[in-house]
Amino acid sequence: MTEELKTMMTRQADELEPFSPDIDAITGAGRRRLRSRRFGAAGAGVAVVLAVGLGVPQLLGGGSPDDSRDTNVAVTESAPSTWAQGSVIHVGDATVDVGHPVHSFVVTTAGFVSTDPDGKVWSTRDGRTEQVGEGTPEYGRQLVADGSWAGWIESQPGQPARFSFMDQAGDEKVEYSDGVTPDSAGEDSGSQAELFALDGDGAYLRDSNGLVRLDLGTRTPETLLADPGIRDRIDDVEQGLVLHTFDAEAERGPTVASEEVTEREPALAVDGGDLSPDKRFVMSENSADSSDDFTLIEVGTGADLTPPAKGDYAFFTGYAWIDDSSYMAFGIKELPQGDGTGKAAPPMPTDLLRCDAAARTCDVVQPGLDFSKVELPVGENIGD
Amino acid sequence: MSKRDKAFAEFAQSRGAALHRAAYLMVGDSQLAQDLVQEALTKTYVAWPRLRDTSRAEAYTRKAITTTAITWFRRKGWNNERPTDVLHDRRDDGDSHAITDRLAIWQEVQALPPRQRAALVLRYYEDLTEAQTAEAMSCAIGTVKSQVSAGLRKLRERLGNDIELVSPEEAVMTR
Repeated sequence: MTEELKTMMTRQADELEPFSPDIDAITGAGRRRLRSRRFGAAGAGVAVVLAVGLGVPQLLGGGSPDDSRDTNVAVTESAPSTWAQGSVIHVGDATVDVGHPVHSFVVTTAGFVSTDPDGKVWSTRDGRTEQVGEGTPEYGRQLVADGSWAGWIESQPGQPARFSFMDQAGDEKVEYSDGVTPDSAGEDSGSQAELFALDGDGAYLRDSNGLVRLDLGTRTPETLLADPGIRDRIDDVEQGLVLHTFDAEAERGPTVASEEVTEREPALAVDGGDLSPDKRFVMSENSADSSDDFTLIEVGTGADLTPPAKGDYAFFTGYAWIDDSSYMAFGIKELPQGDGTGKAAPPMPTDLLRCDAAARTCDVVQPGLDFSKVELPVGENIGD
Repeated sequence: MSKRDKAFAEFAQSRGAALHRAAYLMVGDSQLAQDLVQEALTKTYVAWPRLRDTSRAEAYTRKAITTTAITWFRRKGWNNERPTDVLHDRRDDGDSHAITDRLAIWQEVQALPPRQRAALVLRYYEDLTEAQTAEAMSCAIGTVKSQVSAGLRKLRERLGNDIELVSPEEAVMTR
């Protein structure tokens, strides 16, 4: 028999020093991995010309919509730094208080869409904030955006998930459900609802049919890959180019950029990521080989354009495109060492940087934020 | 700490040491095994909402350890079989005899290709069935059989026949 083999293994293993996993490190890396898979879905970035009525009291209730829009603060490429702390969203030096703790948020061309800790969804436009949804999933990505559209999933206990979309510029709303798909807390992991990305009039999602593109104009769903149990994910879509990753269970599958979600090659040197608006570049918090390894490549050539500034920080990643070649990144100088108890992390001084993809340069535009207190426009709570 | 994080932390803390032991047997290095467990638990954390119970979580983590170990060895060029130059003589001197045997077997197990090593660890240390081993290795049951058979055959070749290393199937046939 194999008793000697068993005995050898048991004794060798028993001689090991006791090992206790670093829970804080694991959950931190896990959260960042989840976020990096979703940065691409958060929106086109923060570069859009944005008129949001940044909490200027005298504007409320006065003048015509056009008048108020003209006098609102216009956020342009010159002020791409956007973050939230508490109930206040900062856009450069301007602020808007949305009246609820910002759990997650995205930027559209017309304003902000945010969630609160209770799962309610709020629209902020022209200095006014109103509730537009509720029941967003407790964990993971809550919001996606592109242009003036934002989207989210709503669900109630025992009810199928409902995909909700709103055009903040025109107040148009679209709701879609196949009537059977559970939300992300569902038992059947492969068929859980997930909203991946918006691209123009298309919403990319997963329901019981598989991977689906919903035309928001005609409200017509098109099944891109029919597989009720599929766990492949769409990371981002820009101008019809789909960045998607094959889910090989515990083994990472390749990330591919292609028109068809069935393509499995060529594999890119990133794990998930965020396409630039012109789909020339893709950036990801994870390289194909390593987590927490920010990588930016040119899709067509595979050229590595990761900026040297990455080396200045203990943790560094891009999180939103400003325009076709500029993007926002954040860098944390020093990561606190967890004590394994999961207690609140100490302050983490964080810089927001504006970077140029082709030139591989970065400049700090907002130094010294506390990463543990801010939310970035990625559609997901950074602390979850 | 959220409910998700609390449930995950309880799982990771209760099973971390056992997972580390299995990982160590697969890679032969305690620090590398710790890195492997950290990485596998990170994958488990990401998948946690769809795992929901600890039995599924443990199976998932075990699979992550196994496939990640094999991948690491493949990517880092460690997958080549590492032949040892020493032929192991058995001496009849009591306790030292057993220790010599154990170290010899350990050395030869570590010299096996990673998939064969993983299959032996899962079958004979973790006591998994062939089906469970196939699940953990993301392969067919037939592949598990062939990997185990090849691993045992190599150990017999290296260690000699006086150390009895026979698969359960072979044992039944020879009785």
